[in-house]
Amino acid sequence: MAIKVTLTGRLAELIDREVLLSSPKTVGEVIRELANMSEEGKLSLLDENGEVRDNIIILLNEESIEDLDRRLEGEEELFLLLPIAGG
Amino acid sequence: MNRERYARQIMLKDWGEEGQGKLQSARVVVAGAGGLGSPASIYLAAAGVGELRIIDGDVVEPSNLNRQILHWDRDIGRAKAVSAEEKLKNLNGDIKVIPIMQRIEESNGEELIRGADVVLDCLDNFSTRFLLNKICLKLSIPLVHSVIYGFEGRITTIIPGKTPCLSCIYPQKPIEIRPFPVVGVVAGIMGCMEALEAIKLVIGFGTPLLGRMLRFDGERMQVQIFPLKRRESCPDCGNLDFKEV
Repeated sequence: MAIKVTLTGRLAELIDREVLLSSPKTVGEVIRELANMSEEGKLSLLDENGEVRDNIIILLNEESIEDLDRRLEGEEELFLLLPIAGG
Repeated sequence: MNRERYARQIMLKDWGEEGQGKLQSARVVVAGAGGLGSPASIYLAAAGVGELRIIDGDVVEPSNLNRQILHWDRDIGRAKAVSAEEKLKNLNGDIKVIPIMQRIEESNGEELIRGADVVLDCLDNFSTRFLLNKICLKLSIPLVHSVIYGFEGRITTIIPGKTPCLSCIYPQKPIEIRPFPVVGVVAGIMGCMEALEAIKLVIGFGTPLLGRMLRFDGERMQVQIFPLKRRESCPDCGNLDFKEV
């Protein structure tokens, strides 16, 4: 079973637009695994204390969630929306 | 009122002459006359918004022209606010367009925004967006916020004391990425959505994106709408007496 993670904005350029990760994992573990894929991406995902930044909008199966301990077991789709400011 | 000019929108039951009158009396601030502000202000002018205040302290550069459709080849080097005023006045001579060639800052922000019925956040950086959010909260003015990056656009409407604000959505200061990639068509789509939200707020019909964010992915042609949460500890709106919508 795999977790499909869709990345947007700069993170998609640094890592990939879609990443498949093996399950089960928590949302926090998914973000940390992604952070290990790109040094620059890590700055966007984790703060200076190594904590997941709270300015990331996390969508799980079309619902926004904040619980980083939420366990992803099966075929689930996660969107990570980093802040963007272009206009 | 020029009924013939606005006949096709007056036909709508929820719009009517009363709605058109509200638009004619409305004062809308467009903060930023760039990729979002161009389409937004064009459609607000066409719809007959009585007063458009266009705030932009920049001049037109060649790299703007893939999306900032108010500005043309011949405008390179001109102030964007002045370039915008010329086009919008030519589009609709019935409306008042006020060009403001300034950047929104702590020192002038309230003065520039005061008296508006709705503000459109069409800016291109976080620091000014957060400042505009604070000013609109303080002055209790609805703020339509939109952003773009590449093929992606997002939009939400912030009503002070009723919906989460920008600082609720992004509590930690985000990293600024400049220059950012942008597809002109996506800027057009999102700017048009901002104009539509503003028109709905002014006339008072429909369902604006209150406490919800719409995300448009132009590459995959996907639209997602998801709820936003207010943060009671928000430094910018946490002190407001909230009435959730």
